Amino acid sequence: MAKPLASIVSAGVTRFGVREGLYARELFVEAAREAFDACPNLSPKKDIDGLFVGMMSESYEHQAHVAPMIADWLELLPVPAFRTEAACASSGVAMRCALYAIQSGMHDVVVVGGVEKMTNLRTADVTEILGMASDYPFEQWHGISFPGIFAMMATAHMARYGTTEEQLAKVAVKNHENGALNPKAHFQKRITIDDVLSSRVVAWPLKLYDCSPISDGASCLVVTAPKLARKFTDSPVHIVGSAQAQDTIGLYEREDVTSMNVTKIAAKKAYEMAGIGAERIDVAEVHDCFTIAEIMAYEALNFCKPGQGGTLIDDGITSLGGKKPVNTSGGLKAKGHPVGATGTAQACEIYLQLTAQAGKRQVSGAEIGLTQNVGGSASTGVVQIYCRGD
Amino acid sequence: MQPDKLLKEKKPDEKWADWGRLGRWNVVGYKIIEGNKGHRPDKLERARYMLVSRPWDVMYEHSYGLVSRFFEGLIEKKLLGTKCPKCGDVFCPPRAHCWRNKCRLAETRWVEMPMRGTLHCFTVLGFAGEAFLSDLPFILAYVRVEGANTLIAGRVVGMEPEDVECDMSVEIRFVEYPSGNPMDIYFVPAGPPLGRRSAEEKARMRRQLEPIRAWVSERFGQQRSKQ
Repeated sequence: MAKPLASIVSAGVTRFGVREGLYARELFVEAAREAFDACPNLSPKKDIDGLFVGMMSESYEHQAHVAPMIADWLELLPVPAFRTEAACASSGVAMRCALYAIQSGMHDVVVVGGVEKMTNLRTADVTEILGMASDYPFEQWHGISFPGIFAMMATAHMARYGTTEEQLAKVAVKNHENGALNPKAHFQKRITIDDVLSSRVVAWPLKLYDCSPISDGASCLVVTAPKLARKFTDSPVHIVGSAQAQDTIGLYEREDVTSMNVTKIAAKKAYEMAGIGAERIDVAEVHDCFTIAEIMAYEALNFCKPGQGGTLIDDGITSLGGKKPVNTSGGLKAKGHPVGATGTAQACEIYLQLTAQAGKRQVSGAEIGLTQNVGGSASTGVVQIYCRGD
Repeated sequence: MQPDKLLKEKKPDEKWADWGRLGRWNVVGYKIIEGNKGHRPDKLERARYMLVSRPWDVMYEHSYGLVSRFFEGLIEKKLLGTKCPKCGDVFCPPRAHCWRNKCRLAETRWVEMPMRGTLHCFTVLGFAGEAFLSDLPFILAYVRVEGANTLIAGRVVGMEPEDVECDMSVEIRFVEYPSGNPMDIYFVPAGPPLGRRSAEEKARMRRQLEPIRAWVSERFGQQRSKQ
């Protein structure tokens, strides 16, 4: 295994869902309190020297410039604080920035997290705001919406590879199974293939149960330079591979809409950095904003060949009891998708898995994990690889 | 430097003049609620909080930038694209400069596009932003205009959703009164259906879309979709 880039020494995540009665900054405090409480050796004010926060849109709360605000709410002033925005990969990109900070030697211990308070607005207006991450005017003006964009990838995938609505439905069923084991998930109930197929069409072939929900939530990690990790915990999780790639913002200028190019490129680099291949991954959290996205992620991460994503889910390989469990947290689908919080929430789940704290959804003996976060119609892609440090 | 000159104008209707004045920024209602509080789902406490309703809306006044000619073309019912003078790639929607590294951000030139193309992928919307809700369900597709290296989005009309297929040929048409909006063009099927979807699959799709139609006619009355 390659040399660690940085180490995660604690993590916290809020309950995801409709969290009325809280501002985004208060949600972030909820996640940070959990991370701080779990790390008694950490004196936040004394040790933490940087803050990175992923948040997609100021429109949800009409509040921009959230980095200083969250630094204030965490009692970390005057520590330098940064907000990153990359649509649904906002906190995935925040993690990348945290790595830059630590690798540069300018920072030793940072908090990196993400937050989104989405439920202040009506669903149609949230759809509009999320849609801002697609091309203006050539996509947004048609009322395409993100379900629509991923649905177009789905019809192309179905036409090219014969992927079926049932296979898409199975992704939702699997992730709801896992969500039922996660007490912080937005949805904690099991569903059937029929439930998915008969749910309301959002953007055919995607039905309501093929789509991740609109959620409120926050997540955060305490990340340190590898040499300092032992000061804070006996069981750190090291980040051993990390890469990011970009693609066109509009789907209309892509060579191939059936493959997630950003993930493919980032995964290849991250595997190389870590010095391992896909076969070594014990547990992964992938960006299942829509069921088709998880199928495409399998292919881009090299868990299977292009076009074989549907077969992987058919064979149960990615179920909790399968050879390569994916989205043990319930994924974006069942755990919820407060967009800015998602990237670091994925890392929180891998942290819990690799430190054997994942409770009923624990993958026994998990040593190497992976997260795959995308923004927009996969215009931003972040892939990171983690290993147990004890 | 010469002053800007107004060449052509279609003024917004009077009703937009006071846009946003009505109720904007005001707290127009509130609720006090007792709800759940707590960071551990197994140890929730009850807590009170206050919810307010506060409207906000905006009017954008923006240019179409360097690709404005495309939108002027729409008003003239001409579909324009751009072409890189170095590599010859054709962009529709237009790019003001080439996407190829070797062309070093070369400025593109305007070309008129043929009114036909091939449907690359599609979706049938069952939900959308507020402005489009009454049109549901509608078909959106990405079409490769003949000769273009890119895809362009638009609605497919003149066919039932269950009959739309990837790779089918389409004709591109203009709406009767274009307003300089990407939605001024739409697609209609051209040529015989490819017939890749089975009767059973079609029936299922029809069934899946039925509740959307029912929802729309309940919410918006008999006002039917534009298709």
